[in-house]
Amino acid sequence: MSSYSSQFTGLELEEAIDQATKIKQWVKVWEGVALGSLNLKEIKINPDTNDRVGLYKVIGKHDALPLDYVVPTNHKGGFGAVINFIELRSEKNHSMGTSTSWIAEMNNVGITSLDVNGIDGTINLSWSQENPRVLPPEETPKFEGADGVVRTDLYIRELWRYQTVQPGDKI
Amino acid sequence: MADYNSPWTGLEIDQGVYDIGRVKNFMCVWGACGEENFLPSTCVSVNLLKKNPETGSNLGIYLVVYSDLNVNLNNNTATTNVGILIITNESQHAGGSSTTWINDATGQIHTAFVHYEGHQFKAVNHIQELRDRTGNVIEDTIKEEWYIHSIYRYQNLQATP
Repeated sequence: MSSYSSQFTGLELEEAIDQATKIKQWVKVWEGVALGSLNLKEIKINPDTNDRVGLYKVIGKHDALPLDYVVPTNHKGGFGAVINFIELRSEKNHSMGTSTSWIAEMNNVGITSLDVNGIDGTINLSWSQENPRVLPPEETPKFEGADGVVRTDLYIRELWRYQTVQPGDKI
Repeated sequence: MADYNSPWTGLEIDQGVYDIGRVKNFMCVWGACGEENFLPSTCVSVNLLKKNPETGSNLGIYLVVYSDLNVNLNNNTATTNVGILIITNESQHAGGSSTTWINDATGQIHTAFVHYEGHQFKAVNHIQELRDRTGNVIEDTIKEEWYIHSIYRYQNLQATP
């Protein structure tokens, strides 16, 4: 055993270890294929808070295929993965996440929105592409998935929560 | 005090301590910061924020948690939103990320967002209607002030106030 004269004091070393245990990162708390919504009960508890509140990074996709595989859709260019963020301060409350919005052709409005609501709390990820005041529903462009099914929901594929890292966590 | 035969050399331990001090996290610099019974505000002056001790300024990347109500966010009538913005000059305007949705019943487009203007953080919701297919003018914009509950800045761990 060799000795080393550290540039840090013992107090600084202890503080560093304490700080290291408080470092937060994006931890994967759910992975799968859920169409439209996911109940919070299916998500791991946050050991920092002993519940499921916190800041989430949500990754969705137009289909259930691998995230890096993009197939053409009837929307120009097709769609790859979508990423948005949402902050849950309570499992009971309604929360709204960031959205991805764009103006599509024919004056309709395409919007990807994240939503959490309900007593038990769910995270929803959906297209809200219709504006009934602009186009009648039968003329509103639909998003057709790789399986040929027309839908307004996105698949939730991954959930990441900003929290301290525990052994075995995927970061 | 116990002896411990570390797998790391003293040099590596010092490097680890230094590296930890360089790690950045989102640190709460104003507001509820996880505590209950904090009174939210429609605008927050940048002068009220804890400065980043490392830089001595308020520049940086921010997460702002805001709501349509000035109640505790544990209250189940409140809606939580989050916006991200970056301030590179305290005297200049900075726009944050927005949340956009359509009210199915009314067809109104809502856009809620946070921004920084006049040395203040603000949260607003714009409600807009467009023209209908027959040309009737239904365009209208309503501006609502929403409430800021917490502000987080991405900064050095050791720079934690």
